[in-house]
Amino acid sequence: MNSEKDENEFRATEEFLKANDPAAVVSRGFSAEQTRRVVRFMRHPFWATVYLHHRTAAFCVTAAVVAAIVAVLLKTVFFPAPEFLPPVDIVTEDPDATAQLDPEPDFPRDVPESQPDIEIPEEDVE
Amino acid sequence: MTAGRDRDAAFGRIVAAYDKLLLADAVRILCDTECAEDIVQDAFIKLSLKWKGEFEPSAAMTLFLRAVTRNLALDELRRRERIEALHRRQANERNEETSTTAFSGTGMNSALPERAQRAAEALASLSPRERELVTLKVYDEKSYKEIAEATGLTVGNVGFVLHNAMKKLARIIGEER
Repeated sequence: MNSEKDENEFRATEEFLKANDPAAVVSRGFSAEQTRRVVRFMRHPFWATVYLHHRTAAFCVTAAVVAAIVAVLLKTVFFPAPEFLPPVDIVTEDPDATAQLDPEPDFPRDVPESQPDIEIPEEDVE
Repeated sequence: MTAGRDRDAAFGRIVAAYDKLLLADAVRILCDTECAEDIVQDAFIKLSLKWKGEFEPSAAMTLFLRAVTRNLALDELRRRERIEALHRRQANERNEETSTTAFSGTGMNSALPERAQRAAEALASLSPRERELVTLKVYDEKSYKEIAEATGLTVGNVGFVLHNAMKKLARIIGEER
């Protein structure tokens, strides 16, 4: 008795849904512009793939940016840049060793201290 | 160049041949015409990327396109459900009252007859799995065995889910009638 009632209810609901199909709103198909867009995507498979997976692509780009920022922060915290150390005085008893450490600069010795004066002829002065 | 133009024309013919059928499938699952158009567009793009044979309407192509459209529509539905659940949880945390139709409501054209709008709203109250099975049973007129093959469920499970879904629909439609 109960199953017969269920069966009738099932049939009535099925009939109602069929008679009042929500897809009745689909009176026309794609517009010319939509068709053109689809055909354009067919011509460019790379962009079609990017379009289809744009959510995944956006997620990957965001994840990469976040990972880069975190990496920079971690490096700054755990591996800071070395500080500059004060200069160390080298003290040694051996004068030769000191000479080796601080050799005399090899300046040319025979360069005149000043250039000789150049005499300008009087006619050129004017 | 001519080959490319021929291919474009062939693909255009496929779009013209299948767009209404696929839109109807997507609208029955999503109850949202604009979103259905996006889903069908994605299905055609997937066809252009994955179809290995000739671009000629065929039974195999019909099966492929309908399966892709159904899966894309169900993915979209599940995504919406996740967002809706998140909003509901946030609202509960703030002790706000939420409207259950904020996201699950239909985005149907208001030009739809009133009874069809009711049917759409009743369908929109079902879970994605229930909607899938009801559309396969009612509109595609498939047997339990065919539905089980298409969805990967057992025949018994199909019967159980469909029975519950139809009872739920009968209650909602009965209240509105």
